[in-house]
Amino acid sequence: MKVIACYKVIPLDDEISIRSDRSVCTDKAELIVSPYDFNAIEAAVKIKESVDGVCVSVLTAGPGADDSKTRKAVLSRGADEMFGVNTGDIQMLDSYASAVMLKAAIEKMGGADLVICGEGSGDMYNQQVGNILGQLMGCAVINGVCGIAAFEDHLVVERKLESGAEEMEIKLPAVISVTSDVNLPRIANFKEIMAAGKKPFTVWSAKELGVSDCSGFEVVSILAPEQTERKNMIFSGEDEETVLKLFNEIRRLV
Amino acid sequence: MKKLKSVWVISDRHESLGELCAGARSLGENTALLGAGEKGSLLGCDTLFYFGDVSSDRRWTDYIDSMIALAMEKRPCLVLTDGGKNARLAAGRIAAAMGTSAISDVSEVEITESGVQIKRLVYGGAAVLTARIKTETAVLCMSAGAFEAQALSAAAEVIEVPYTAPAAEIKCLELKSVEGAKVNLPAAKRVIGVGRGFSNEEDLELARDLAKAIGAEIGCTRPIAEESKWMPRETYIGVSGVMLKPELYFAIGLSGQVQHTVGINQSGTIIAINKDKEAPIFRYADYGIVGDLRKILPQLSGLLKK
Repeated sequence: MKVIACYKVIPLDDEISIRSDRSVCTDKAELIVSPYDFNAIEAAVKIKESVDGVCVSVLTAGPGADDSKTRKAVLSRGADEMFGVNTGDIQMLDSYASAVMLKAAIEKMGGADLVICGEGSGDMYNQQVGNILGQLMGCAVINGVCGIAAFEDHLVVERKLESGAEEMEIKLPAVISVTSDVNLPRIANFKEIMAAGKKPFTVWSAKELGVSDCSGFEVVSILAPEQTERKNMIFSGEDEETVLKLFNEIRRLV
Repeated sequence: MKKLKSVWVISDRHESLGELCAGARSLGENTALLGAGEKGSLLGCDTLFYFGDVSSDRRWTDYIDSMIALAMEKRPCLVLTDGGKNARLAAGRIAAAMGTSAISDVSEVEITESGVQIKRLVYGGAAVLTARIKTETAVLCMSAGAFEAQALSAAAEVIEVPYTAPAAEIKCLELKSVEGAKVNLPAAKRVIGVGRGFSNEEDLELARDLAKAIGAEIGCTRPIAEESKWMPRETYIGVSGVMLKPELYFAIGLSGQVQHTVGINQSGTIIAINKDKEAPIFRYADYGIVGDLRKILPQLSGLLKK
């Protein structure tokens, strides 16, 4: 069984800064693996540990596909091989364009029985790549997966909804998106990190795969919102008098 | 405002229809609801496209292929849905079939001369993305509270849609209803946000007392939901880039990281309580007290209860 876990390389949110014109600066931010994608990788590796003959690849598409630090981070968590689509100058893909790139890579890789995506990326959090990818691949697709039991030709998954939970049987091939409570991603040890540097990897350019940016939207702006003017009336102290001061200011509001 | 020719609403959750159908009416000349389940509750648009019953044999999600077939035939300008798991799945699949992306957690939609323009939070809430949809159809999962809900009226026409069996069958083995945390922070008029300043779980009772006194919902910051796990993940302010718009927001024991302060920027009045006078949250607050929340909260709740 061929299992592919998808991941996205994103800028670390703590190191994203806002310029004086309210635009967002990600240039100085370290590149990281989008946190929820570690759940997808862990889910894939758990399947490899429970079913015989499973091969796990990790796959990314975007401008950070050839970043070696994130490649080692994903390979140290138990995947066998890494693949990537480097989009070069194209910084922003929507979920559709990302899915189109991933699909092209999956075809080049010789297909997959199961593709696992994280719930959403840490930067855009649009939560749609898995749904769109599954539809494009024409196979079974489901999101919100919080439990997986894998068998030779099917999965039994638990799915969490707003009003309840469902247990579903899904025939492979399939694309599933997992929530962050599906598992607790492992932390790699020193030996695994060292070994990750020796694992095989392949990065194609988008051009080599014959795909281009087919995003359905055009970015007008990405700006930090203008700060609402506030009264900034701050008192200090824990005594009755101070609390009463605050109470007198807000009593008309409650 | 310019209107689109046709706007569709899709949702498996009845509680979303008031807002989504009101939004559809404000944006479109013709509106249609794509519904399955109890027919009598499927109200709010000019036309109802009815797919059939929902049971354990045929789940709402089994109708997504039928919805796709209908969308391919009718080619609506805009499809609106909510942020539920099933709604997102339907949105993504319909969008993909039509060669575009579904866009999630949209807080504003505008019809401009050059098409549909949307706003949503990105980078964990630090910035607002404004984007124009270039494709023929826009598929949007709306944030709760993006439209003002209106009363639902019956559809003028009901059209029964034949069933398109899913190409890839997914069988439902079991259904469990769980007592989910039914919080709807974006729709709440009063919200209390709690952060790491609550150093032990028992202290959260103080926030609950205040919430009871003023009828507020409680949300929290990432450490409370994901590290100490004292509150459910659904109540975490910031993760899904949810914009809160309460009339009153209490920021208690939280420092005010940028991702948080953007998410609460549209609050009417912000009140902060934190023992660190340097905490950034005070810069974003209308009123505040520098001091120990364990001493301040009981007094404040006592006064507000009266």
